[in-house]
Amino acid sequence: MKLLIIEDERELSESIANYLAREDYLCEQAFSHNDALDKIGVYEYDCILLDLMLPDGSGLDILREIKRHNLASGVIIVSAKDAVGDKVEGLKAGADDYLAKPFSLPELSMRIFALMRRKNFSNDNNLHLDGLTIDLLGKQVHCQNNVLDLTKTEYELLLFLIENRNRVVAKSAIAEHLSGDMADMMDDYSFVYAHIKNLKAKLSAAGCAEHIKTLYGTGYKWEE
Amino acid sequence: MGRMKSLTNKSLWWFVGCTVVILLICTPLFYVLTKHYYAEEMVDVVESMQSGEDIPPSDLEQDIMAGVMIQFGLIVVVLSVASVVTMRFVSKHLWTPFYDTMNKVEKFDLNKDEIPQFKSTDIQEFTTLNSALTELMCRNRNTFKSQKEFTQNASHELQTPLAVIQSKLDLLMQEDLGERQLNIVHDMYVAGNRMARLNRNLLLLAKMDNNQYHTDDDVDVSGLINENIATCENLYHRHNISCDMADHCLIRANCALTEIMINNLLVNALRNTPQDGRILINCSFQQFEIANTALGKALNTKHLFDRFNNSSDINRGNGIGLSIVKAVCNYHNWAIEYHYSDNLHHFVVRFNNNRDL
Repeated sequence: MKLLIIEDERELSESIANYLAREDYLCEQAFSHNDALDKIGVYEYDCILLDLMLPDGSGLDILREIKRHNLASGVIIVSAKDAVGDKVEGLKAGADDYLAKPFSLPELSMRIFALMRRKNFSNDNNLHLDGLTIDLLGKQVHCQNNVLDLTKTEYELLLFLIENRNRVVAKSAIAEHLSGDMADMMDDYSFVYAHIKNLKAKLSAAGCAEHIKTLYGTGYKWEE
Repeated sequence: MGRMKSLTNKSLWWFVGCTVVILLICTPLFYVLTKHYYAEEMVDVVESMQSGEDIPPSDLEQDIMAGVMIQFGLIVVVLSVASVVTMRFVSKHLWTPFYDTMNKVEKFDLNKDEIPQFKSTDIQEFTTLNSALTELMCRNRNTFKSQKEFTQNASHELQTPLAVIQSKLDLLMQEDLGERQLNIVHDMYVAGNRMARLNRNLLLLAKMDNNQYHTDDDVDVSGLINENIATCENLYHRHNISCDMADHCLIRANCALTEIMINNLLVNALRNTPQDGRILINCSFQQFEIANTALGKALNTKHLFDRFNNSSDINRGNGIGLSIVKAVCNYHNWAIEYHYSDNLHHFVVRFNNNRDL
């Protein structure tokens, strides 16, 4: 999958590219408005991460350009302007998702995954991994012909870990993914442990091997 | 506008004018008086002296005395009337621009972007006063505005470095770290999150100060509350929240801000409820009330909604949640109250549904 990161802050762009780089992701970077327009004109991307505030122009112009050429790329706006108005304007102009800075890289990865899933709707909606089959439409998880009875929270947690597989995901990143602002305000990430524990128990009860690794109570990792 | 005159000058001229006018009006009176009292007898005396006759007996001396005294009295009356008129009516007339200025200054609100237009006047002092006030207010407004913009820009600019820090920490966690290092990284991660949230909240307050939110969404308050309660129950397994509300409480407001307000009030209640306590939510289209079990005493209401006030015994988290609630209420012209009864903390928001939009 080809990905274009349009972001003028080089360090941030590097981090994103670094984190997302895996066998099936190909990341390219553009650091300015013109640079981005050049790249869009030449190549085709599956997904574009777009910063709204660029030194030589507005990200919204790039977005309009993409839409004008009717490119199939999915667009996620990544912006420091988290004003409600900007978000609405961005989505109106045709962006598929909006992520306010600062964000965690696992969250970004998850958003890209969700977007790609929606874009490739006609394709296979089942995800096969490590003996698990996840029906993304029906939100059901099968393991060796057993259906797992997961709560909504556990299902989301499983997807989040699987999408960030082989990477350590901080406990607070999980908390924020699951509950949005609330976990943050509660300053209490302990609930993550309880849900991980339940998920693990259900997976092993269904005969699924141990894939979730706990790293000293601060992070979790799905190991293939 | 004609020539400028000073206030003293102007009142003096008015006074002189009044005196002259009243004196002119009183002239017939003086005439009658003079004639009636001693002019006739004086004529008699003069005539008899001319013809060499004896001066006829008369009470001339007495009449002159009485006449002079009456004249004196009359002049005093004229002057007093003139002073009263100038003091009372002319002053009022002269000071009108001053009262106008005073009224406008009293109503002046730094938050509203308006500098009042003062009535123009030909009085030197008031013109000076008005221009000085206008300049003062302009300067104040500009300072205030740039201060507000500064807060907003500063919060804004901080988002990007915060994003860089967070992303680097995410990467750092991927390294093969031991327990100690991982714990340190995670502590930094959590601190980074808190800083980011604080910054977001400051930005939110600054934006409300700058009136950057529209308030004409139809907001389904009960829907928002249900979502929040569901999150609480799914994630935190808190089942001690009871809720009494109408099905669709629609209000006119800003949706995002209303959500933030409800979220903040609920989190505030959650944080401050003891394990076996309960939370009661009551909502109609007129008001939203949330109550939670207290630890035996009322909160100090004086600084309850202030930013970063840690003096009271409430567990405030980042110290900004309730001030955001207050700011959202102010933004929509809603009233918020706190009271304590039956060992419960009550927060009540009264929606102002009759407002013209």
